[in-house]
Amino acid sequence: MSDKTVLTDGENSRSSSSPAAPAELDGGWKQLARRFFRHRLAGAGLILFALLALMALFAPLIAPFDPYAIGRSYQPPSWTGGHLLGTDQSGRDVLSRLIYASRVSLSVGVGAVAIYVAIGTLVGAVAGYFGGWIDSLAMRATDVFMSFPYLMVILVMVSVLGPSLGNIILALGLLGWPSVARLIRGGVLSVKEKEYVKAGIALGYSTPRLLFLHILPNVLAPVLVNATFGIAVAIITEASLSFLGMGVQPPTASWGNMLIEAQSFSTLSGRPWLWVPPSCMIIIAVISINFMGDGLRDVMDPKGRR
Amino acid sequence: MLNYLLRRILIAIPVLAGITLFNFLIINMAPGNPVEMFINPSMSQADIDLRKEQLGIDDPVFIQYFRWLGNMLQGDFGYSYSSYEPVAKVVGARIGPTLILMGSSLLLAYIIAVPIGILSARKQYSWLDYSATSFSFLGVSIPNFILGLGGIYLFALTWKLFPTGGMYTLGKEKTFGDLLHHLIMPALILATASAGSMVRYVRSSVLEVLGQDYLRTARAKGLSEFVVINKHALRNAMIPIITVVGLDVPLLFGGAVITEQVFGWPGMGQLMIQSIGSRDYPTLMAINLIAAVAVLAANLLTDIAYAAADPAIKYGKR
Amino acid sequence: MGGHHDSERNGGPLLKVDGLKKHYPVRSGLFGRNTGQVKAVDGVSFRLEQGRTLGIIGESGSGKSTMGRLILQLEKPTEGGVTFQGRELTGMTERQLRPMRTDMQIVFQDPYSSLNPRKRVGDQLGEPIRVHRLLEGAAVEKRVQELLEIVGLSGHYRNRFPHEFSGGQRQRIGIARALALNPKLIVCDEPVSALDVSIQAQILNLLKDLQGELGLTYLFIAHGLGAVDYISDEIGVMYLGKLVEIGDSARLFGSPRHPYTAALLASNPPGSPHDRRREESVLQGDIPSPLHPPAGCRFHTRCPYAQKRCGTEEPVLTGEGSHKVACHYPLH
Repeated sequence: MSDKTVLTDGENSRSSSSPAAPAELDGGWKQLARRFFRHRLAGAGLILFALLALMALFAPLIAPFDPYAIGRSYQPPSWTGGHLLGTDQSGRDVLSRLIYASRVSLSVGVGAVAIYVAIGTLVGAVAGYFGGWIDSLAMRATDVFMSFPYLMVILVMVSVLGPSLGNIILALGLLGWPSVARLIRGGVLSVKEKEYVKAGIALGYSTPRLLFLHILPNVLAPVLVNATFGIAVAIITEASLSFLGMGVQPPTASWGNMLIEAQSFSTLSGRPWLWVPPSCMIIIAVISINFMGDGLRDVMDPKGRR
Repeated sequence: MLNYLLRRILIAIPVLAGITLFNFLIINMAPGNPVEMFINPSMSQADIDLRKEQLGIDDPVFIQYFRWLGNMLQGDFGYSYSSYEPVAKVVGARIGPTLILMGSSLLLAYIIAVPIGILSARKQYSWLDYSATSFSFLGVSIPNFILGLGGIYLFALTWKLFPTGGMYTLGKEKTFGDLLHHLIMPALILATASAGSMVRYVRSSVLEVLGQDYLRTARAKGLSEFVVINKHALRNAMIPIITVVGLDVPLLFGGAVITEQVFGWPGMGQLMIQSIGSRDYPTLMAINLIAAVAVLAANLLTDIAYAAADPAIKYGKR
Repeated sequence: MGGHHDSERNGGPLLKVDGLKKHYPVRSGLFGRNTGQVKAVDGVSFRLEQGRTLGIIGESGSGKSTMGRLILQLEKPTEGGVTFQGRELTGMTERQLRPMRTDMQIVFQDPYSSLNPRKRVGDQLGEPIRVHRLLEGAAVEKRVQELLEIVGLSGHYRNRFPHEFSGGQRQRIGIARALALNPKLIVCDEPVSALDVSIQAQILNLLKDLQGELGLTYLFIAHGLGAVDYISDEIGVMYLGKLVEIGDSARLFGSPRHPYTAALLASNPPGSPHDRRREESVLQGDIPSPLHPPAGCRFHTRCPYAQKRCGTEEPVLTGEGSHKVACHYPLH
């Protein structure tokens, strides 16, 4: 082998111009991360979300009072009385309940999304890879689930299963998968025709190895965006369910069920410390996540960047 | 085209069957035997058995499902467990108010979102664009019930501009003006989420269309900017916008449940919360079914509108 | 490395292809009825001896790439047989095929989609070795390094991702991957047509050197003639799913017997550097749709010498010795 000189980087770089440079995110998770952090809103969202996560994690250390301890009801916020955000009907410290409630929201968000991403990935991957009647069946199932008036079905499911944190996570997890399944299926359909997958078959790789180690890692990027927005949707849904009394049950504090009291006009007009803080927390949580989702979307789709 | 339509309708049938089955199965998982509702302690065991047989409770689940489906196809939704009236009548009375609320908020969403989206795209990176984008962001991010509470606090309790809830003023004659007065706040609030996402869609699809060659040609022909935007850009930008409606309807139903509850609007959403409280399963099934049919119909209409708006769409393959 | 197991062979050719067909159904209408067939490959037969190279040429749409994939059982043939090392591959399950796959590999055309963008080069080369348990532990790493060096790349490139390489380098990596399992047969599916001319020569030389060193057998599929001429012992010419002429490379290029081969040669003489030039310049019209191939000789619609008989009667591939042609009125 006479001409087998070791090629250096600069050499024959011209040939990289042959087919259109792949728009794919060639192995560049690192590059993605860099672009994400340069995205200002995404960075702000990440910081806010990290603070919320820390708050949820260290709730017992941060909360000034026991969130279940009963005292004098409806004390207004004061710097001197110890109750920075006042107390509720049962005299429980609003600030402490607010801090503890972050645990509910975050666990619903992350738990539900983890469940449905897992289901959706499996369904989408199998449907896209095997095609045929499996694919048709799976796609009809996504049609069915996507035609559900989402919140209504969840309300019925939770009322049947019994309203609790676990059941809310389960119901959201069982209903959220179709959009992920469709994303994954579409990705698998295009990636399975790629030559590196054909090469994998030629190399004698098993189907699960090809599907899960070679195809899936190349189709997960759009799911990341979907899952991020999904966390926000799950948090809003939990808050709505709890607000309607069909979610997390008192005495456990959730931002949604702290707002139940605000349905009485005397609280709404006379005791704003009971409903303004939890409302703000919900909005902050949702906005921080949506900022991250926006950032991720911009980062992954260079076309749509502003 | 006809072929395409026929195919879409044929696809909708198994989807509808799936929806009814899922709905039925969930509710069958419910604890508590509905017969208990119709039984009183003074009944003998024979009476109870007879009652059970009449209700078909002891039959296998799938037989119950087909019986329920068959009855429903004949318009028989059973009897409400709480009011003992026919479900069709109980739910029927609630459809109108919900349609009024959802319809007007969809309309509002369009009236708000389309001009804002277009302006935002025309004046990209202006303060108007930034505030429109922020508005749409907030609209998507703030849950309906928080907006509702805030709205009641400000506009009803503090400034007393609008009533706190209901559809008509109690004890007064039901006039259109009174209805409108009650409708404005809930409809606006229900519209925010849809409007928020719609602004985004309109903005991005107009931006995309504005960059196309044929607009440059239209301008070069000396057409006025107004004509260019309204006749050429908008028509093409409408196509992606149409699809948003189909996606929005399921969300709108969810939003309606919450908005109706917050504002005491006597629609299906409020009935749903009441029925959950009283474990009134026949009513719940009927509500879910009606909502699902509405969603399917909206999707079908969207597809048709989409096909009509875009002559390039292929009907054959999918 | 490659040729140690030659004793397994039982005298026959390494690869035997008999009446290979691939028809794709075309669905349309309300219920997706079967309304036709695309005959991508329609009855191809040939033999390939160990250590030799058979070049396959033809326009795009001639079915040459599909045939390569059929031989490797990457797609299931509709009809016909593929005998590799004396064993019939068609009809085997994927599980039965897996151990056979170490002996037959493929190098693809597009160096951009032929490598997994998310895996390090070293992992992509080491994975087949680990999966088939050819080596274990540190020996795999050593072999990966060796493979990179065999194809002319530095061993420490193994920690890089595909996007850090140029097209030519990627094609070298694709070749290294094909070599990882010590195969006997490599199907080269237009391995140089996506590369710049100067790099084409490097890759062709590499393939030729590897053949000499490892005793490889190539099925070399190509669009243009230049590359094929350089590397092949024998050449087959495909048109609309059929082999129209096959024979010794020097004889076939020296005195082509099928009018189609002649037309290809006239538009693009062998050895010409302009490998990418389209052949259509001499041939009239476009290649007909494989969905409705012409009756009789498939080439008669474009053939300058076509007679009445060509439109009705399909010629069969015949000829004395190894040079065969499917034409009623062959040249010479």
